[in-house]
Amino acid sequence: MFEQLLTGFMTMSEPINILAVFMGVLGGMILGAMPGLTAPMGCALLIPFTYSMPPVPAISMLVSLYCGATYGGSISAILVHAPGTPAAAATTFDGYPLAQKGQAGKALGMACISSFIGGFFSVIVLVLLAPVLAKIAIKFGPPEYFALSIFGLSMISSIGSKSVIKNLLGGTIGVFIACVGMDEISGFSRYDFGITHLMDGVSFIPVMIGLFAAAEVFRQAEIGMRKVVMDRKITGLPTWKEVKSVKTTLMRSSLIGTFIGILPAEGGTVASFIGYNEAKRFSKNPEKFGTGVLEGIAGPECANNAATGGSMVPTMALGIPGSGTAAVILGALMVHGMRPGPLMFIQHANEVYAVFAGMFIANIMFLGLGLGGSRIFSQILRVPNYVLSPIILILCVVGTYALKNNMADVWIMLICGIIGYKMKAYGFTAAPIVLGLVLGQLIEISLRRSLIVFENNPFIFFTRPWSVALLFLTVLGLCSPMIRTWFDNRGARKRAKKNGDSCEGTTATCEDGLD
Amino acid sequence: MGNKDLPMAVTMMIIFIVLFGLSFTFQSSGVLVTHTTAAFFPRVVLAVAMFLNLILIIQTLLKGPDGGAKKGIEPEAAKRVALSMVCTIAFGFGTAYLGTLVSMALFIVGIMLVWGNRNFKVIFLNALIAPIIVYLIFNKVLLVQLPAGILL
Amino acid sequence: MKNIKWSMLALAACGLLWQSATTVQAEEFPSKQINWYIHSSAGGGTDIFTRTVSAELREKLGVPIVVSSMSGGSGARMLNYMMEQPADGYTIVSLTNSNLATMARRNTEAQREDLVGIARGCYDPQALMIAPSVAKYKNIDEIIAAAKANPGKVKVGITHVASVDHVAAYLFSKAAGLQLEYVPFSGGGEIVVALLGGVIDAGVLNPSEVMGQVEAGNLTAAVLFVQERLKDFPDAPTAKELGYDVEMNTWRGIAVKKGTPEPIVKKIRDAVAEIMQGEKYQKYLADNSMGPESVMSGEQWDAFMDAEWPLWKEIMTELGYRK
Repeated sequence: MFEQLLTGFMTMSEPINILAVFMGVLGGMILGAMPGLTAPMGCALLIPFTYSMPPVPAISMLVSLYCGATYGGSISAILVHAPGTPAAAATTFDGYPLAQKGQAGKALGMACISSFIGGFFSVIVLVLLAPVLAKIAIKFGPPEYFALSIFGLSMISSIGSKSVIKNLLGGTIGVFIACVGMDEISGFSRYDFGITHLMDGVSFIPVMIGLFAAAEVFRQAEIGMRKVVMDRKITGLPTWKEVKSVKTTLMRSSLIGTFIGILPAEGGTVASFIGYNEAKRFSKNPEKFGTGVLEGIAGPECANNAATGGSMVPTMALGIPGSGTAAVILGALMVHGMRPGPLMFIQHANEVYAVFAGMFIANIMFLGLGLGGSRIFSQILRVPNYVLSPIILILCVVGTYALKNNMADVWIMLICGIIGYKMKAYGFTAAPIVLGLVLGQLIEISLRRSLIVFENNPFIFFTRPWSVALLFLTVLGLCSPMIRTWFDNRGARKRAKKNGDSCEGTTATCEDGLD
Repeated sequence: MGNKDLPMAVTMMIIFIVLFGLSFTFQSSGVLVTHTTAAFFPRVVLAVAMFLNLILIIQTLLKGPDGGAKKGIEPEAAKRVALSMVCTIAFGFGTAYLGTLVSMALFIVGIMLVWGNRNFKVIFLNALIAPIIVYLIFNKVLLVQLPAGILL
Repeated sequence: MKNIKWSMLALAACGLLWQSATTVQAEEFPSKQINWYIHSSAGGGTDIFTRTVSAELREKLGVPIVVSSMSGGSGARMLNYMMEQPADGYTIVSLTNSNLATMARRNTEAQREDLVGIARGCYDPQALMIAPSVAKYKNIDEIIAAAKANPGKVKVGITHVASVDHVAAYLFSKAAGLQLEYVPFSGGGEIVVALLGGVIDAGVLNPSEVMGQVEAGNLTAAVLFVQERLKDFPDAPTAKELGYDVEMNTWRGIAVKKGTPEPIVKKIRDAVAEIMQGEKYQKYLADNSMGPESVMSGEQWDAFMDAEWPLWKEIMTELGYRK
């Protein structure tokens, strides 16, 4: 295996291949940073150009684009509150506040380093364990997906605004929006009001761009003309000590991201939300999340890039795409005469390991480009908001249109922008709605599919091991603030007894659970 | 009185009820009888939403009017936001009638004027350069057919 | 100084755009950009097929051809849009059987009669596939026996309801007098996972999409919905051999709106036919496990569609999907 990987690196060291990876990473970063332009779209645009190329540079370029775009999404998320890719939505929570505090360089640097670590880790896993891990993907039937999506949805109670009830309500509305359009199980359209555009449902990306990016433009309108965010130093990268301080978060998110990436129906978006939530749950000071803490950037960014390597696991080892972009890459593999599946690693060992080597190089490359470029990217904050904001909005409009060449998506985006601005006054935030929308379809389909497959037996969710484990984790997660308070209080009581002091109950943490 | 959560929650409740009612208009197939129908899941979700909304209403009623004490934004800022939204909507319509490129330029001019910028050199340059770059990238490099009206 | 340079550049760019926008309308077809629409999103099978053909057609006709995805309602949006355009050959669509299903469901105002075929490019066989190592029923006889013994208990994975997969399985079950339980999935990959995980008993798939798994011996065909046996599955019978006259496979082709002048249709047909016989296109077919018989001339394909169209209308009515 190591020999093959070494051969792979030798193949990759040819100038043409290095160039392909570089173009992929650079193109990916640019596409990723633009709201509306996504990695699957970039890959699809590239495929015709890769016809005439040999397989190794062709596939490496697409895979590099995927890695680059997943990282690139964080740049615009941090700088202008416009998540460039869906997977970067969670990065806005802490990345944007930190940049607004004048520490854009630190936020960008942290995102870049986390992306690199997550991505690199996932490629190691991909190289070492792909065939073994692919078996997990097969173990995941409809009930497991239902349990997983419920686990994901349970996060809405803790991300978003302070009011738990409003977060839950927002999440439920998100799930409902996912119901609009053709029902996959029965084949009939719902809530389309006779509009053809709505028959395919409300896509997630326009809603996300609206709620995050367009709403932020209106918030800037509220502030009015402002010269610059920060005219002093905005470019300092995170120090080594700061990176070390988030190492547990990075490790956790790498594992989460890789695992979620391996599952065919889930991708970087869900991974990044879970990464953020777990970073918050295990943090020493969860109440600071949302104000610009480094863990809040490391958590989601590391997880979404870890999902890139993860999603290549089923793509290569099973021939089943692990994400939207992986589906396009799968198509490209077939165009080049490869048949991804269990024999892929034997029949096409040279190409496969060369592509893996290319992924390693791509991760290193965006680390270099990202860290080196963060100084340049941060300059965007020197542009006055009255110049920048309208440009962001036209990019949102054109980018959303480009998704499907559909003006209806643009209207959805603009309406969501207005709603996103207005709802803040009522104490609602975008995160739970977006999460509900991401998971809504999976929840519905996996639930109803389970009922078909297991003949309407509702207990199926409690009899399959993975499903039970995930549901248990959900309950544990929902109760964790309470459990934690209990432990803290007990600890405080013990200490109080020992010292004979009066009890100072640490009740700060119970705000999460109770409102 | 004066709690703004209450009218919002009540409005949402009405919307939920209407949507719940609409679920009875969905078609269902006679062939796939063993399957749950298209209306099954939306009804579950709406039921949950109505339940949560009810809690919110009760919570708000118990809390009393203090929520309304929050300060609104100053009228000047509210006017800017409202006009920006008008510009944005006009931009959306403009793409279909005037074409994307022209609308983009007009939108930038509009927003900058609404926000109180009177430096016409900056407005002119921004309205000229940004749309052209965006247009070139999308239309010529990414080959996206942007909507063209009577102009470009 | 810098500003002046930028404005000059911008002005130059403006000029460039103006020129490209006002190409002179000539007599001869084609004289301007051709817009080609597909109903699926980027990167899918239809997209790759379209881009393969359009790249060469662009050179042949010497005009820009822009491929745009117009997804929405399984082709409803694309077909509705096509109906609004003049029948002049400058609007081309890629057509698959799912579009025929959409038309049969009357989700679009367009009907089969509103289209003229340019050429069929893909004919991708479908098969009822099983995972031999985990499946309860190891071949088609066992499946039929089980379905007869326990109606509605044999679970068959399909990609979307009212799709070509669903219809193939439905036609087969009708011919064989079976009652199957259809489990809708969102894509072929999900069906493979469910098959390998033993969640479903069989699934309708295009073998070409899952050759990797087939070569590894994890998946095999139980019955084929084509007329003749495939070389990859020497043991799998066709439905016809079993005595059920079922032929339902995925196809993709190129079409224009009815009423397009005959010379224009002929010109596009000739150009496309030449491309499809070419080496590049044949390599594309081979790479995607499709045979050269995929290619059909416009006339042949029109006849083929005319034969399949009533079937779709009939089945959609039976399944309760025809409005």
